[in-house]
Amino acid sequence: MHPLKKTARVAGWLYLLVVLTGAFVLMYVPGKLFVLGDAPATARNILAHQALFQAHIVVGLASELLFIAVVLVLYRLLKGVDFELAALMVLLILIDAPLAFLSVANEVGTLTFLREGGFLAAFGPPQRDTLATLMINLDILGTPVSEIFWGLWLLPLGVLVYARRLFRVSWASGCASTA
Amino acid sequence: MTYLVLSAVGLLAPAYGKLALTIATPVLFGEVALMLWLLIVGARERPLAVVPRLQVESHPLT
Repeated sequence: MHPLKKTARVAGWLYLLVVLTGAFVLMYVPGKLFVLGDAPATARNILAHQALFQAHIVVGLASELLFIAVVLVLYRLLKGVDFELAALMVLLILIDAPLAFLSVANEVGTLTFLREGGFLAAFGPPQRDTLATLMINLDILGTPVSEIFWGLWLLPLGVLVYARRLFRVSWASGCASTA
Repeated sequence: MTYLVLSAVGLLAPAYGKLALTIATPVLFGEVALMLWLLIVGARERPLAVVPRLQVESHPLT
């Protein structure tokens, strides 16, 4: 298989994993656990399905790492078309990555506050619920903030793909010339 | 652009977030189409446009 085609296939497989893990993290688990505008109900659901919420945390981390890998492979594929646009695409996702990891940290915090015992024994149940609610709200608000970058990185990607079709730039020779 | 609209709705009018996502879902499948294109078709090398070489006459001093 041609190296260029192989790189595109790798990007495709990684992208498929991002779509599948993303669907689990952004659609399946919120659909099961998160109650819009009712943080206490969400907290109760999380406590009742802790294993699912822990899977949400782990898969969320994996999804973000896979997303970074996708963009790096796409950068390798498209840098020959326009180096600056390809670099901008990577930069936008690398700006989003800490936000995603912070969101995961909020989820870990949510679970910590909802579980009883340990150093949190000093807090009463209403205080723990309030802190857990704060963490849940921060986690939910993290998605629209990340969506800014999910939208922005697609703009340079779209231009790069369009430019390749329009100007018939050779990806392989472009990659070689910028390597 | 769809994600940017969803982001604006999520931050400014979260009550309409679910409705916005329902409307936007078909558009978001465009990203899935890109993924499938990479997976199934991959990338094809295209020939570079042939740039005609200039016919430079040799200068007497060179």
